[in-house]
Amino acid sequence: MSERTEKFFMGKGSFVDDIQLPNMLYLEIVRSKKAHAKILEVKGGLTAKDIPLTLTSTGESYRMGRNYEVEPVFAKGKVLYYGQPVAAVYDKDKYKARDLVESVEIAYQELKPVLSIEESLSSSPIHENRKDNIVARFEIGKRFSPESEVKVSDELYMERVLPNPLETRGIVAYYNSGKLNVWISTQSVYSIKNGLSKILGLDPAEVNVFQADTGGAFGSKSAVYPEYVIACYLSMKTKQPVKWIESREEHISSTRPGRGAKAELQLYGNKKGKIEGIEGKIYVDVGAYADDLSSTSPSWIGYQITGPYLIENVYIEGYSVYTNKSPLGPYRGAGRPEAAFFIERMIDKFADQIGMDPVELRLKNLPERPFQSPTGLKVLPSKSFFEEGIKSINYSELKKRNVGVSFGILLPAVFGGESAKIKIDEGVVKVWLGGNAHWQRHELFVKRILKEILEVPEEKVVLMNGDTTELQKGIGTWGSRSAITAGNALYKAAMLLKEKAEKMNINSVEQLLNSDLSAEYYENMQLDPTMISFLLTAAVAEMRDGIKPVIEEVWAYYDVGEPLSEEAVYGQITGGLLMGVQEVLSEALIYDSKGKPLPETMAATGIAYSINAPKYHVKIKTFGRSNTPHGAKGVGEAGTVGAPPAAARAVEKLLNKRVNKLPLDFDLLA
Amino acid sequence: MRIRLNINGKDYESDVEPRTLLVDFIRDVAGLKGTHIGCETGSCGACMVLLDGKPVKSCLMLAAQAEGKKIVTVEGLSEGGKLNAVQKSLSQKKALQCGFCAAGFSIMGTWILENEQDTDYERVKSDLAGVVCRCSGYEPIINAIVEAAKNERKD
Ligand code: FES
Ligand code: FES
Repeated sequence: MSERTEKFFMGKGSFVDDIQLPNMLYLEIVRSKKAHAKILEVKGGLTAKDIPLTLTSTGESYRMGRNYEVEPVFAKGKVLYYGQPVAAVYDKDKYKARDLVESVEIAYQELKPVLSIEESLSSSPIHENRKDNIVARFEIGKRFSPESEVKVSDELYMERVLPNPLETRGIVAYYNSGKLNVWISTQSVYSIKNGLSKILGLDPAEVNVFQADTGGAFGSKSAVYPEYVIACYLSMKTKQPVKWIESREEHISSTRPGRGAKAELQLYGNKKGKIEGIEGKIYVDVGAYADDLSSTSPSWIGYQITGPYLIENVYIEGYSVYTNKSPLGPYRGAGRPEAAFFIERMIDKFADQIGMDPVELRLKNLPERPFQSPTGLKVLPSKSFFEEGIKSINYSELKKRNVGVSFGILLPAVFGGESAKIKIDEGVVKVWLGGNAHWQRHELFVKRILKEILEVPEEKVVLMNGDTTELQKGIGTWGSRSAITAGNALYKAAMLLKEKAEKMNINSVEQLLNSDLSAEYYENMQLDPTMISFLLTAAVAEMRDGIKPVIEEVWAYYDVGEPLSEEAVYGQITGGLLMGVQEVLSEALIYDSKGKPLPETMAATGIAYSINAPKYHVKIKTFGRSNTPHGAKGVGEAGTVGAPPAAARAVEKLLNKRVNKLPLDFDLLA
Repeated sequence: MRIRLNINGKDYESDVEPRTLLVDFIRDVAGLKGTHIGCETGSCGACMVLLDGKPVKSCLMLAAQAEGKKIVTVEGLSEGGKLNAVQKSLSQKKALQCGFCAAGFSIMGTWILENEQDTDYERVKSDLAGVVCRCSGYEPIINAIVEAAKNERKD
């Protein structure tokens, strides 16, 4: 049994909102009610005059400095999205702090908001210092002159989607005796520490970040947000602890959503079903401000556009563009689902156009030998994997129903590597990982690795929450990376510990548990084709109550390398599949004509409830081990990569109408 | 306003504003942090408690409305430090990931075991329709509750 879950049932979890400190102040943010406006006057509250700071790019989004507009902590002069922080208020009483929000008066002069990729390309720049709304332009692959028999064209779009973890974002900051202590719900205490110290101009040695239990993230808890800086600033000023907990309404307007990607593509091939090339444009709506991850997102999508296939010719132009919407962030998959949706939907259309079975066509285009795509992506041959998968899901029978099938790859974000620390403390083996996200899966694989190497019983192992005072260096949990990177670091830290024990003539588990040995390990890693998993997903659609398309059943035949714990992998796969299916049917962040988010509640964002869950058929496979000591591959984002194209195809068959835009357009049902 | 509430068999009394939500009373006055806030608008069920035996979303009620009633929170299900049948099953089957939804599903699951005649997969699935889990895809949770009900019947 897992102590981690047990404590949640006992009410002994320690989520950030559970933290109560004496003299704590409650912080509330006053947000813009306009998507695009000049600020004429702000009366009351803390504003940009008090905190004239700007965010820096951190966390998953941190790569290198680029020329883009970074979000200020508070809007300066202009507001550029609905929900942007304009001022802040606080009180020692939570209810009173909320009342104070109303006391701040903001006078606006409204401007016309830019709300779509098309509008962004044709409107004057929302940032006056720029010449247009283009954040960055990319060229992926090489120009080619198509001479193919068949040309398939389409325009595809994936709407914005909110991460919507069940626990919203939140922080407690306490500046005390020269140290800034931060408790936070996060995927990486390191990106928070680095970001806060950079933005606030503090010596990193003065900043301690502790991870509270984290109630889901899906990308939304990796970077530094304005509210975190405000909370820290306020605590430094008042010397009192400050708590800020995001409301769901704020999550909808101001937490960074993902997707918002459009493609105009041409696929070339011959009548026998050979794909000869793909070209076109990919646009990503990054919202009002950019960071490294969002600005480069079109190139990341383009890089993996060839999926598991052998496609000799690729030329993609990528554009990231500004709009008057909340800044874009990573959402489960971050670019991988976009690439899969784009290529897979084009392949289905190609199959229809030449009258070939889409699965047969896919199998035909898999490489026989390791293949390097013109985009630089290297993939291993996967034909036998997909052939077996097709048999395993019994495709020849499924074909008779409204079925969609997708082939996919999952690229883990191993870049940066990871760290791990093991410390034996009073008979307990404590573990810290650089990537913090406390899914059960982490706990299970930690126990499993330590059992394998150190032979310590599982109940003696405790996975600790992220803590920058215990483990100084680390990266974070995102991009299906933990099993590979943190698993690798822990494996090697355990080997170091074992060596130390041997040197000290410790030769029983009992002696080991009585020692006070510790070991720490960090290693950078590079993406290697053996780390890429292959995903076969199928979905069947049916009509419910004669009017509503639903996905009845989903099949996932997924390569996860050497699985560290099958049970935990299973739940991650079903969780991802449901999100992927729902993204096709209803889940989206849609805005009204003035740029205000349409959904006002969590339910209205179209998330899945139990009644929306399809029947799952999950097969966990090992198609080769990765080049790491424990052989694991990624899995966290598998379902959100595989499900959307499969579900979209299933619905397309059901309605007999092309599905090229997510979520489903109600017009299609007319 | 003086409010006295009976939570998990114990009385908690405090001076609070009349607008105090039941969930805030449970968390901040009684200090029972197992009941969570996920949305405050009735969308998610993270705040689910039993009120005179019926599952309710405690973010949709004022504390004052719960006076004179018996409130059971997630902490009240695991008496003497022992998990109840539903919690044990959810835990053993590793049905949860982040755990933020633990209160909602243990409260609903417990209600199902106590009140539903029929506890097959489809029944449990539709009974859980008001509680959100963003991590699991629901199936592991439904299975764990169905299994707990089966074992209960056997005993
Ligand atoms: S917090 Fe009560 S339903 Fe979400
Ligand atoms: S386990 Fe995360 S919301 Fe259910």
